[in-house]
Amino acid sequence: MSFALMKAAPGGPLSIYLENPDIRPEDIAAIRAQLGLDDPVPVQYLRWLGNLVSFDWGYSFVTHEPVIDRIAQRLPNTLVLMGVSLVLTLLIAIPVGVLAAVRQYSWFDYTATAGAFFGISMPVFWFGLLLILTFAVQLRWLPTSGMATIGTEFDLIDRVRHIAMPAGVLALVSAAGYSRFIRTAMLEVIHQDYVRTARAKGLRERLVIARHAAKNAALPFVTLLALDLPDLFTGAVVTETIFAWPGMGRLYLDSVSRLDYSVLMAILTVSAALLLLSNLIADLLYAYLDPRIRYR
Amino acid sequence: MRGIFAIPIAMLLVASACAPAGPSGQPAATGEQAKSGGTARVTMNQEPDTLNPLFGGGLRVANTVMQAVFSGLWVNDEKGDFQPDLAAEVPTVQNGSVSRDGKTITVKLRKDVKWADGKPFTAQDVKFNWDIAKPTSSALRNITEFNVKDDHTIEWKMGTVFGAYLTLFSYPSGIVPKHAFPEGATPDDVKKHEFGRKPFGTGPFKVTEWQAASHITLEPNASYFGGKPKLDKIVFRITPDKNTQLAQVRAGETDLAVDLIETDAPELERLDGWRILTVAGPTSDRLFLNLAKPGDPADNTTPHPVLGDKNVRKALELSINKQELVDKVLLGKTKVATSEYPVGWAAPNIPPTRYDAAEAQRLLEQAGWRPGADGIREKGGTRLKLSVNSTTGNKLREDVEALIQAGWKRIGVELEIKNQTAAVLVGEWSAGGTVQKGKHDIAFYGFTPGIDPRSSVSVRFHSDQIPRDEPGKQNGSNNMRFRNAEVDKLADEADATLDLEKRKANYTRIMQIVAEEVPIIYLYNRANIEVASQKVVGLKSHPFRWITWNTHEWGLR
Amino acid sequence: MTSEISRPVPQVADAPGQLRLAWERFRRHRLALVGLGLLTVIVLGAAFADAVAPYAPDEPNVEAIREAPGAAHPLGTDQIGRDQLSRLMHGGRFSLQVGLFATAVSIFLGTGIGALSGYYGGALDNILMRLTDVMFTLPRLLALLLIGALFKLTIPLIIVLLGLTSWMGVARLVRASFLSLREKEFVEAARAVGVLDSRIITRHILPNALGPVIVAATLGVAGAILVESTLSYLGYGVQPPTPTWGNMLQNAQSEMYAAPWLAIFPGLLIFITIMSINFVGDGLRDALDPRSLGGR
Repeated sequence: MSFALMKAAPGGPLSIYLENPDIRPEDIAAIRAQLGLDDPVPVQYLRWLGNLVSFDWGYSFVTHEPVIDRIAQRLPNTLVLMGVSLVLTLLIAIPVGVLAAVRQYSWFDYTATAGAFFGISMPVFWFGLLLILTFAVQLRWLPTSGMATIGTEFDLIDRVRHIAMPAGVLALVSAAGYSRFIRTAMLEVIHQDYVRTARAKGLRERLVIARHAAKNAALPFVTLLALDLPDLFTGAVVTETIFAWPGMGRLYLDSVSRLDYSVLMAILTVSAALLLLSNLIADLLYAYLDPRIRYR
Repeated sequence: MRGIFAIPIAMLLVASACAPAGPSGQPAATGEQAKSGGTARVTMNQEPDTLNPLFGGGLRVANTVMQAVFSGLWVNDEKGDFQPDLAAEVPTVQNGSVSRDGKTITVKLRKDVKWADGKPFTAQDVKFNWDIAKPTSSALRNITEFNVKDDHTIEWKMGTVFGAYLTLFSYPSGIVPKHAFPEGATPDDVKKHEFGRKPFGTGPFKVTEWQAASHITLEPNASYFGGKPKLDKIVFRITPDKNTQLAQVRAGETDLAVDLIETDAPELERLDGWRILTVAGPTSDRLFLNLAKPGDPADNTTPHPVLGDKNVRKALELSINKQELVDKVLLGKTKVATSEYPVGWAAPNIPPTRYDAAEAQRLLEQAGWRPGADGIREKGGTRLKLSVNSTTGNKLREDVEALIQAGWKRIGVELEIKNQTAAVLVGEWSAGGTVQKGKHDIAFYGFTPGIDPRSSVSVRFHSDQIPRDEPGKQNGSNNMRFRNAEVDKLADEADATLDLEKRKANYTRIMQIVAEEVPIIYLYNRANIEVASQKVVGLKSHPFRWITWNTHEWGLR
Repeated sequence: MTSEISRPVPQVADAPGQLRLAWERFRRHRLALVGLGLLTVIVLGAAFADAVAPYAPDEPNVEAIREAPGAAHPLGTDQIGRDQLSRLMHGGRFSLQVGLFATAVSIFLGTGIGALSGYYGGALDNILMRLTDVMFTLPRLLALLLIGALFKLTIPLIIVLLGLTSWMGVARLVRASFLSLREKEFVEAARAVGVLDSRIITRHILPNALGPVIVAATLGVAGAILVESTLSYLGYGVQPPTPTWGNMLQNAQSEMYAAPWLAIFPGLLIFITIMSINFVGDGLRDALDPRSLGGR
């Protein structure tokens, strides 16, 4: 489908040449032919499909590198950023969500709710900008952007300082949503009969929460997390752009702005595959965590 | 929650109110003493596509980096004249290196040039560049015979006389080393070779590292023929978000921000310890008026219902306050544009048009356009309404469009702004590109002329270049559909002679006719703008080249 | 957010008494009232921009470039002297339109698909729910970026696209309601006396399933505004000269120090609007869903 979309679109990857005075119209025709853009569309499609299954993803129209190399350069960076922010997210969301549910209507619950509204409502691009201005320009505690200080050896402290803001922004925003989700899930479980029973049996409150309530509340949450898996691949377009993080999100945006079809196709295809995979994982997790579903 | 929120906002307001804490602001210029060594940190907001000069798409950022790595046979000096670079002298008819009939050019190469890997630069390298580049360059295919006379002499013969022969093998088409590629490499092999990611040439620096989307590191070429560079390293850092890029400047994380635009200047002007480097370059933004009836494709034989009338075109030009655009939007960093090629040996001396709304009104009245009920003029039931297409995402042009729109409204012309992505606006004929097909009233974008007027004047205004549905004619550059027999004749003559005076006279005459007929409204030239820390010395803006043209002279204080 | 998906279904909500009760409950939610107040001001400002705005939004004034907020221009002027307050009011009109109409499209689609799926069940249900699953995991921002790069996004187009990619939550909610409601006595009764299916769906079941849909719709408006502003910030949304809050922020790039008000106010307005909508949504949830366990 994405192939059709790109073929239907006006313009093309070669239009950047038209503003270049050194390139003549007949040259453009030659370049087109070189790229195989003059073949009939079905031929182009079949060729593309054939290459895809044989893992020959072709060359970028823009940089002339193998597409697979371009993705391989970026993917680790995205995995690091998304991984760190996921850990941060969970470290914030789970305790906050559980505690807010257990102590419903306490000051903590209200604060957590307010924080969640803040996170949900904050436009990431604006928030990131304010953070850079505050922590990098005014206070100079953190570097503005990038993954590491360029030209230095690997240094964990330096890496941590660089990842703090982008991962922090991502974590805050997603923790806001997840903590609300966990709170709701916990509340529903807490009021279930078996939790009341456990409590009535005289089990200690902490044990009740940990053993009975949390385990059951985790069910929908884990499923939700699994469904968010494709994000690990495509990264966070906005965050990566603002903090100049060399990840997949930016590769996608760069390829969009230069209409680098071969790279776009590869990214979209891989994320579609991941999408199916994450659905499968979500289903399996659900079955594993919820015995009731097995007989289906 | 309110507390958390309040902090960054307060910071932000403080940031704007008080003077920023930049590096200590020492006075510039006086006794610039650079010490040896050190790293210059450069920030730019796009990533180059490739650093192989034979296959780049002409991105500014790519040229900025490549210029520190490669040399051409000759380069432009600040006046626009050609000076030898890898060649020992610039071939001309006078010094006997160009044959009487203009078809055979002999070039003697410098003998003391070495590639960054220490191997000698020879005539075989130049021939290799011709072999690889000619399939995609009709100008190079015009060379019918390319002979290596000896290690340091080449000779080429051209099928037809090509007055602009010096634009061949000049920068930015830097010469790449033959031995970097396997024997017998095809153009496609060269294009896909990893050389494009880690190139070396005969320039002052070579690329030692390119981390995708992060940075590109350059280290000196020990055997550079122009003298040993002072710096140990230049690091180009890629930062896509403009705010973040400027934050790097404020935070002292960089020494030089390149390829900025005029509207960035107010952000940086009052910054302690930094200076703005600027020079007006040859690029000009202009309005391309479609003189034919718009359509898909345009009807080249029928005049445009509004723009087909010369007096209307003149009125439109007179009601744009170009000087005000330069002063208020471009902050006085550049000047009003008057012709296709404002600088260089052939620059025509065309005076800027004045701003005269009253005269514009008179011309419109005379042409029969009378104000309607809402102030917009009408003629025979047709409203005087035009639309302009520019590329999306260009803040400067969006601002200019708004100002032109307001100015035209005052004389009773309605302007609708319908910007498009660059791929659509200047896309090829076969892809349905707006200007190629002639679907537009007015197209608004910039153009950087080559130093020789042929590439901008003949190609732009010759009626044979009007895009039309004939083989090889679809992607011509005369998207104004401008037709003038005298211009055609002048252009044909100029292109077929090597007599510089004759060529200059003809091109100048063409520009005078264009100024009178107004198929294009030239607005303003673009400035090259960079901001540099006072720590870096040796930086100098160049009208025809990028800021990196003299990297071997850069140093840190 | 996703929390409303798992929410129990309100039984009856159409009697006038119920409405008053809901309003009583809503009124007790202080944040929701604050949100409603702010929203009213913003919506009125946008709706009556023509009458209320002090200047025309697209009228440049070279004598008043980058003027700081003051008497003549309460929120300052931009780089060609346009009045920012006026632009924000007109821009708000477009941003809010996108939010409202995109949500309308998504509610229409979601309700339709959910109703068919829940009422008829079986194979149709299966197909529609698979489609929902797939759409749910579609990387919406990536898809919109690509479309924005290939075709120019106009306001109607962006509305349709946002609507087409955000109906899934509503569809699941409505389906869940229908699944439980279709077995109820009043539906059985209607069916027994030969009422047409279409009439049962629209007249008998739908009104009873509307509560959670309204809540989801509210949050959908916030989501749509946020996505539009993100697209515009990245340069692929609604294009100038049409002002939206997102592209005004984009325009403020590199005006951060020369004219900080150009970056502060649009961002602040997006933030306040989305937060207000979220508050109202939360209040509505409490009000329309008496069994709700989630506090504010």
